[in-house]
Amino acid sequence: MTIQRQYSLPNCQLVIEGLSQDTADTSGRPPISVVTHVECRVAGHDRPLLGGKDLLESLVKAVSAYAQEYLSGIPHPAAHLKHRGIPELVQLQRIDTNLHRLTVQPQIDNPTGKDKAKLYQMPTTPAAQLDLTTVQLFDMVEAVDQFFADAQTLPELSLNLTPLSKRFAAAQEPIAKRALPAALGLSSLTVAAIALFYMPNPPNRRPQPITANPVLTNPLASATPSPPGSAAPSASTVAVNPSASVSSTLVSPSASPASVAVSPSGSLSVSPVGSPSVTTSAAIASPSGSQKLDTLLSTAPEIIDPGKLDSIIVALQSKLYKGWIAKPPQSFTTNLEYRVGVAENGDILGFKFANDAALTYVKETPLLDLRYNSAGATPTSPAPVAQLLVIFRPDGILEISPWNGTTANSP
Amino acid sequence: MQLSRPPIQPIAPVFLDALPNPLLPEAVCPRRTRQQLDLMLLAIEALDLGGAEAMLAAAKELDLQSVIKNRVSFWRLRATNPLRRYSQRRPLTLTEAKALVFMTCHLARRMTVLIRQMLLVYDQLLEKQLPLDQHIRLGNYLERFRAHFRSRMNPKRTAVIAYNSDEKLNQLAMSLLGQLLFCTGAAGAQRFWSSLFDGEAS
Repeated sequence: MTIQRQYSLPNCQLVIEGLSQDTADTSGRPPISVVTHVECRVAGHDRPLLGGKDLLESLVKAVSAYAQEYLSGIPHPAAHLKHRGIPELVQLQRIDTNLHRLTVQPQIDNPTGKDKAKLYQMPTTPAAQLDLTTVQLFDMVEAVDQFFADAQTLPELSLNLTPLSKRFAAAQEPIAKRALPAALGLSSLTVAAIALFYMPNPPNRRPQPITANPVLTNPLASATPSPPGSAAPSASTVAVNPSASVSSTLVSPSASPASVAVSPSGSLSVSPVGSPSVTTSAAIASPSGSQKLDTLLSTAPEIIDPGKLDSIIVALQSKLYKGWIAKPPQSFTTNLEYRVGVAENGDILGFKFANDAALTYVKETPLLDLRYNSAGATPTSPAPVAQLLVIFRPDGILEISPWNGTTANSP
Repeated sequence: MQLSRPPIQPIAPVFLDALPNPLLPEAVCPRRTRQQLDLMLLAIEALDLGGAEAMLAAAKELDLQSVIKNRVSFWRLRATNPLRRYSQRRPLTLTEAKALVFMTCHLARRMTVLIRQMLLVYDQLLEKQLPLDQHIRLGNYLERFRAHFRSRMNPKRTAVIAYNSDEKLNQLAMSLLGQLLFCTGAAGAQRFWSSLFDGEAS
């Protein structure tokens, strides 16, 4: 008994003829289990697509895959790819924004069944092409969907939709295009390496002590690398520029500790009178003024009150932590120990290196930045100073304790 | 004041399970999915003047209120589109995406006739090489879509800059219209859902 099923849409008609194996079921619609003839007519195209089960299977697969491609914009391999070197029987391609080309290849392999022989009846040679508009394509998809939804026609075929996996999306770009950035990076690295190979190593120059003004020159400047913008350059500024305003940045005028003398030849000499406050400001100005710190500590009264020390330590700790976080990640691996002189208000008046690593990695600590700047300040009398031991640990922990240990009268 | 955890989330409607969960590295919607869902809804808004209200009504009709509670939560779902001016940095869950898919298909199905008609007109205008705003309804749709797109998308995004001319936005609007047509079909929701994860599934 031949059964015919029709799925009709305004622009597309899918007709499936077949046989039912289930002869017992005579009531209602017996299921089609063997397809003998398939016909697909598209409005505006005279010649229908004729074929058997192969055409039907290929058609629904390609149409379904192409619909997914149309919705997502990512090429679906089942809609156009060749299968084992042989092009799929039905393929769909986009040829314009609103046009889709359906190509039906003639059968290549030898037909074995009666239904396959009918494929040769396709009047087109070598391949049939139909250009579908988006609406026509949709009607074809809809016909296919209605066929899938019909459980009484080829129940073993059902709509199977799965999203494409990542590798298909990645395959959109040709491999040459994807390899280009990597190749470009690698070749520029090579070129840079070759170019830099012929460049001479920069000479390792240590900072020279400035002899123009021996009075202001830091005695330690030659032994320790001083950071830019610290004592040595500013001293030279004073020596070169004979203006009182500049010299006041180093030596506060109200304290008038230094006598400024302009010689007839135009050279400027600044000499400190030697009052304790001058010593203080000089120690402050110098980043590596360890000897000045000693002087400072010998002249200024030391804070030994444990309560005051505690509050100073707390203030200093938060200050240093803030400064330290702003620094780039540290590279030192040993503890950096500093002897730090701190004013009662938490200002760092000066510091001294307590170990070698502390000297090497001083730029990685915030001490230089947080050093109290004497400019504009008017230290009238030696302020009391607390002596603290500050240890920067490589694991990012800061330890601060009184230099002389806890004082005897502390609880 | 510490707020206690909200009560147990209302259970999402069972029919959302008709759409299978795709195999994704994470159980949230990828970028393209969020973008596409919002753009499709934008196209519906451009098609229908009362589109935004219709969407909220559709949420009620489809019994999606456990997922789309109100106007604000609906906006928050749509604003997961990374191209939005006020893009939300929250993820879009698969359940929420399914609700948006059903809503899109429901609204598109109602406008099937209009969508078909406009696509046919588009074909004819292209064939005769006439400007697209020759047809009043199509012209209105394109104009509204462009206005919606420009007012809501972040002009600093590269993907938005790509649509810097009327022609490019028209093209986007027409391709969205075609995609809406495919949502109206019998298996529209399944097809649309599956296409949303093309190239994302593992």
